[in-house]
Amino acid sequence: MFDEDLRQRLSRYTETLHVQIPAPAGAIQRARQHAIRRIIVACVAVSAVTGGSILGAVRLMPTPSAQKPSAAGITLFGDAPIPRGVETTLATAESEATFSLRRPDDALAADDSITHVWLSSTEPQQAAIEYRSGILVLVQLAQFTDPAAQYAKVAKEFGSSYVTAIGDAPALVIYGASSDVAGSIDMVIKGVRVQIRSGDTPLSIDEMLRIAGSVDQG
Amino acid sequence: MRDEAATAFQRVWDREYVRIVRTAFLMTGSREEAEDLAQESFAIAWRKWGHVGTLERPGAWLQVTVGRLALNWRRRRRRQPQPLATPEAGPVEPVLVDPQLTRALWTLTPGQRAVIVLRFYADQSVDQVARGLGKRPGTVRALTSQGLARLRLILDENGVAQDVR
Repeated sequence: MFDEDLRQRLSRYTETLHVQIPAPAGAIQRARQHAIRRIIVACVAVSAVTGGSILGAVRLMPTPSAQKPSAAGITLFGDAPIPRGVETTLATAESEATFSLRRPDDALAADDSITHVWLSSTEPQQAAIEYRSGILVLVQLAQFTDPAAQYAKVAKEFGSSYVTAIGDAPALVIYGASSDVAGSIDMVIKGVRVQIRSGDTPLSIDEMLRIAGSVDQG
Repeated sequence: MRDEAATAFQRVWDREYVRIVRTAFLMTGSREEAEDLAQESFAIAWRKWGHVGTLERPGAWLQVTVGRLALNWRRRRRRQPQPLATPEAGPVEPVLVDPQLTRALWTLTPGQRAVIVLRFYADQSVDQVARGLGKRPGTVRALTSQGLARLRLILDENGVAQDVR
């Protein structure tokens, strides 16, 4: 049921993105440039073997991105991990956030290893904290009326996850690439929802639970 | 012969361009990048037109191609230093129409988002997505399940899933 709802919703959502169809000449031109670059790369390889050099010619070739369409750009995601996220400092985020910025204090995720902090400029307000380890923590006011029930429903319907409690907080552990790796942990602590994501490096479930357990629940 | 190919390519372009841009938009969240990736997909299609032109559904091939390009695009961006993102004002865009869905999509990892978009927006099968993204079918199924779980959490939180019924 949710699958079908999602299909309809995605379809309706994208219909509101108005796209003008340009002429296909730009794409065909790109294809020609790809072909020319491949020939030049082959020549460079041959040249390297024979001692000659045509690297200068390669540098003169335009890249495909130089042919970007000139449509008015609108970026929803940008480089922030939250929509309309604006990079800021931890101190600013703490003072401007409308919720307590609950975050871990662990060897893999502590204040002294924070690399980026973002605060969204749209409602509902959300904060994101990235650590040197690649771990990403998203914080916002929880809107679940009953997080434990919500988590149980999701785990039952989709699998790949299980419900647990971390301290007094109901939590959902979502598996990563396999069931011994945690992709993320979602928990609600006194009305604040904290999501901890493992980033590019797979972490064991025990490691993720330890990090989640280090979040202050006071 | 080349004229015939150009005519056929133009037909596919006219029919599929908007959908390819929208597919890329769901994965990147950027109209400009989506249009760039769509053009890149069509450029690859033109280079391989001898094969793509014979396909029953060239649009399906374009969609998984733009999905793969979008994944690579995110990996490249993560490796490059980027200027700070700033909120932009603009005409009525999807983010303003459906902020919950935008937010929900953004909670997914790039891999989950690519799989969810290709499965549920582009209507691709698990095997098609696996072939297109160079992943195993089991991985695609796992990413689908994880992505749906995350989406459900966010959309249900705001009562959105119920609203669409």
